[in-house]
Parts: sequence; structure tokens; C-alpha cells
Amino acid sequence: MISAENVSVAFDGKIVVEAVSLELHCCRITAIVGPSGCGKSSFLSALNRLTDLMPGSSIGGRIHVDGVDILSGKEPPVGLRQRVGMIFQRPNPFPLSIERNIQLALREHGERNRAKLAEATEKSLRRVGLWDEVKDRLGESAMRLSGGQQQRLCIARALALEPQALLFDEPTSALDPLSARVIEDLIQELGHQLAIAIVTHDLSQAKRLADDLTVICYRDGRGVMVACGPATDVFRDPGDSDAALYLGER
Amino acid sequence: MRRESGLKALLWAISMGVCALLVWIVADLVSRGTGPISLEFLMAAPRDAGRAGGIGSLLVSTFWIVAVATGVALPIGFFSAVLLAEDTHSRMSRAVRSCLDMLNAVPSIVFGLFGNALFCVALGMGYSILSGGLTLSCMILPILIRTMEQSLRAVPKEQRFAASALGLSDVTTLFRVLLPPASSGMAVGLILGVGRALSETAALIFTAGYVTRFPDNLLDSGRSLSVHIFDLAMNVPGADERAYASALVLVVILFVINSCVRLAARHFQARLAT
Ligand SMILES: Nc1ncnc2c1ncn2[C@@H]1O[C@H](COP(=O)(O)OP(=O)(O)O)[C@@H](O)[C@H]1O
Ligand SMILES: [Mg+2]
Repeated sequence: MISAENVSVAFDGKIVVEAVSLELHCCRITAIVGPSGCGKSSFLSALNRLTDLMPGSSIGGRIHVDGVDILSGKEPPVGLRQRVGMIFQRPNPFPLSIERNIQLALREHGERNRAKLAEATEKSLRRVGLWDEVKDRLGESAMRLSGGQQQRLCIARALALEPQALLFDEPTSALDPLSARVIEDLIQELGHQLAIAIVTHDLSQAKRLADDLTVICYRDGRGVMVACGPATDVFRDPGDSDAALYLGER
Repeated sequence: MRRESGLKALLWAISMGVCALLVWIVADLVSRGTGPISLEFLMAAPRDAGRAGGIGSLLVSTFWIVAVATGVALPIGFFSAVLLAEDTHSRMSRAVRSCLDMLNAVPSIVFGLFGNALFCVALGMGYSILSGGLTLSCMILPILIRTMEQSLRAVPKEQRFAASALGLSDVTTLFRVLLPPASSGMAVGLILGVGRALSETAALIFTAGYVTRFPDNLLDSGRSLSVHIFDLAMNVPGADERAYASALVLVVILFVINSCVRLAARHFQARLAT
């Protein structure tokens, strides 16, 4: 449902990553790996135009979501971001109550009915396995939750909008191993329900989760996609010396 | 280790010194200034150039001058701060920022002359509470804008990304996501601004004037409390005790405003956060 063709991202005219082509489909997990600074986050942000918030950024190539060209600038990104959610490295709940964290975006997008809001809140908290832990303190500040719970809340917050795709930018690297495992299992589970892209530094995590794998490496001071395909194939035979080095080295 | 504890002791001594200074000033004001204070002193207009009577009319003038100053500066300052915090990079916003910082360093007497030329003369408001208040609003705008902008910018940008990634509008993001954590810092900016307006003398002498009557409306001249203290101390022999009493009242007002704004910010923060 998301297709990126020959996408590049530049800051102040300087290209940081280029030649990335991939497709995200429902019920498949695509992992994106590569050394830090090669532009994985920049590429991921381009997919729901979060790059708009970064001063000096520009995107090249073509990105279609559900067949619609999102770079044409014709439609405002609000609808796009409802359909394509994003989860960040550091859990970033709003300094509001647990309930409000989930309902804020729903209200913004026009849902006013309290019963429906409560229902959507319960549903998305259940989907991330947080309901039983927090159902008695929905009014408490989300900042009191543990890091892993906060990250699950952020995922629930994105799920409440019923997106078709979720983009994860190193969602477990700021968490302790136990919480990381919980999040990873959750992503695996969500992988059966929607299209997922996940940037990760952890190759074993990529191996466990990915249906498809994209490798980005440095070339001439910028990130370039060097391998792409079904994960098992790419791990077995990257078909590129840099990719082989990166995948083999860890 | 020894050096570190020595340094620590020094820092402690310095901070104790600062606190002691504050206590000393307040104690001095209380010991010399409580004499004249009475209900009558707080309600009546001064008589005999301030040797007799009270400070009632000055409190009224002061209130209106500060109200005009904050009433004008707060909304303008708030929206400018929001715009500046959003636009961190453009050349325009950087130019505005350095202008504000320069304005912040301009001596208040210069604002007085400017206010006199613009509000009193060019706009025909004469020596009035309105001229004084508007002059003070120009004077406190830079500090209001810069402190408010900085507290908005101190909110981690991940919060902005999170809001945007959920498709929240700029307005919702501002009021629901950025303002609650920024509000205590913004309150500090407001306290600084109001404090500055309350304690200003130089800029008011040329704009609000020093008539001691109760003002009838905003176009009347009115003497603020700080101008009164200055006048009693410099020009009126035999009014020292009343100068101290007026200063004590001013300090109490500052304390009260300080606590009120902080309380209000906390309340506001709690309400937005539910
Ligand atoms: N907002 C920005 N402005 C300018 N340069 C940026 C910005 N964000 C990232 N970059 C640069 O883009 C390159 C890629 O960054 P990033 O996408 O975060 O890489 P990765 O996620 O793979 O570690 C880095 O060199 C970084 O300095
Ligand atoms: Mg990154």
C-alpha cells in the first residue's frame, strides 16, 4: 500500500540518503537496517511527510500511498498521517492522562461521542496488551508509566486512528531488554494486521521480525540502498559487498 | 576532594549571602516602614507632597498602569513567542530575536523619552496612565517574548513530532501538547515583566507624570508607587518614613503577584493536563 521509488532525502540541498525503493504491504513487516547516520530515520519520516517539520528538508523520487502521490503537495498531510502512523525511538507520550493521550487525536479528527471514545480507548489499549495494567488509572498522567508501558501507549495512540501502516524508528533501542521483548512481540503480532516498516540496529531482531529486508549503507558520504528483498534471501545472499559486510559483521 | 568541599562551602556561603541580603532589605523596610501603615494610609491620597495622607490614589494609578502594560504586552508577547518558537531557522526570526535582545538592554529612560515622543506628543495622549502603560508595555515586551519563546522551545521536539505524526493541528499541538509543560516557564516571564513594570520609575516620569490625585480615567495623569518612592526620597525632606512604608507596600505587592502567578500557572497546567 506504500510504494517508494528511488526516494532521496536532502537537508539544505545536501543529500543524506538516496536511491531507496521499497514497498510496504498489509500483513508484512519490512525491516530497514544500516549503520547510524546513513539516513534511515530521514527516509522513514519521508513516508508520512514528517520531514515537513524538519527545516531545510526536501524529498526526491516518488512515494505513493494507496495509489496517491503524497509528494505532489496537493493534499494536506493530516489524512496521510492518520493512515500511516509513526512510533519513535524514545517513548514520547504527551504530558496528559493515559486516556487523553489516546483520545486527543480521535477528538481532533472529529469523534466527540464519549461512549465511542471510551470504546476506542479500551480497544487500542487491549491491542497493545496494556488494558489490564492501566484500566483502573486511565486518568493518571502517562508520564508515570514505565518506559516500556509508555512505548506501548504510544503504539496504542497510533492504533486508535486505525492506520493502515505503522512506521517504527528503532522502537526498542531506548528500552531495557525485557520491555524491548514485549514491544517486539507486539510488533510481530501487529504484523499480521497491517503494513509495518521497522528501522532497527539489532540484526537478530531484524531476523526474527522481518518478512522483507532493506539494507542502506554509506557510499560517497551518503546513504544508499544496497540490498532489498525477502529477508531470508537477503540474509543468505545480500548480493552486495557492503551489505554482506554489514550483515556479516554483527 | 578537599578542593571540592572547599568550593562547595564557598558556593553555600555565597547563596547564604544573597538570602541574607534579601532578609536584610525586608527587615529594614519592615522596621522603618510599618509605622505609618494603616487602613487610612492605604486608602487616602497623599497630602503636603506626601508628608501626610496616604498612597491610595497611587495604588489605583499603579494598578491601571500595570494593567494597561500587561494587558497590551501579554497577548502580543504570547503570539510573538509562539511564532518565534515555531520558526527557529529563518533569517527573519533570527533578526527579530537579536533586535529583542538589544531592546532588552536599552535603559528604561530611553523608553521614557520614546514613549513621551510617541504616545504623549505624536498620538496626543498627553501625560496619562495610558501613555505610561503603553510605554511600559513596549519596555516589557522583549523580556516577555524571549522568556516565553524559550520555555516553548524547551519542550522536547519529540513531542512536536509525536503530535504531528498523529495529524494534530498546530492549534491543538500548541494548547494541548506544548503549553502545559511550558506554562511554568511562561509564568516566570510574566512575573519578570510585571515586576519590571511595577518597579519602573524613569520611563514613567515622562509619560504617566506625577499627579497624586485619584485618576478619573485612563487619560488622567497618575503617579505610580515607584515614582512616589523616588520623589519622597529625593525631593521631600521629612518624608523618609513614608517612603519606607510605600516601599514596603510595593514589596508586598510584588510577593503577592509572584505567588498568584505561580499558583495560576500550576492550576492552568493541571487543568490542561487532564
Ligand atoms: N533535521 C536535520 N537537519 C539537517 N541534517 C539532518 C537532520 N536530520 C538528520 N540529518 C542528517 O542526516 C543524516 C542521516 O540522519 P538519520 O536519518 O537520523 O540517520 P539514521 O537514522 O540512519 O541514523 C545525518 O548525517 C544527519 O546529520
Ligand atoms: Mg535514526
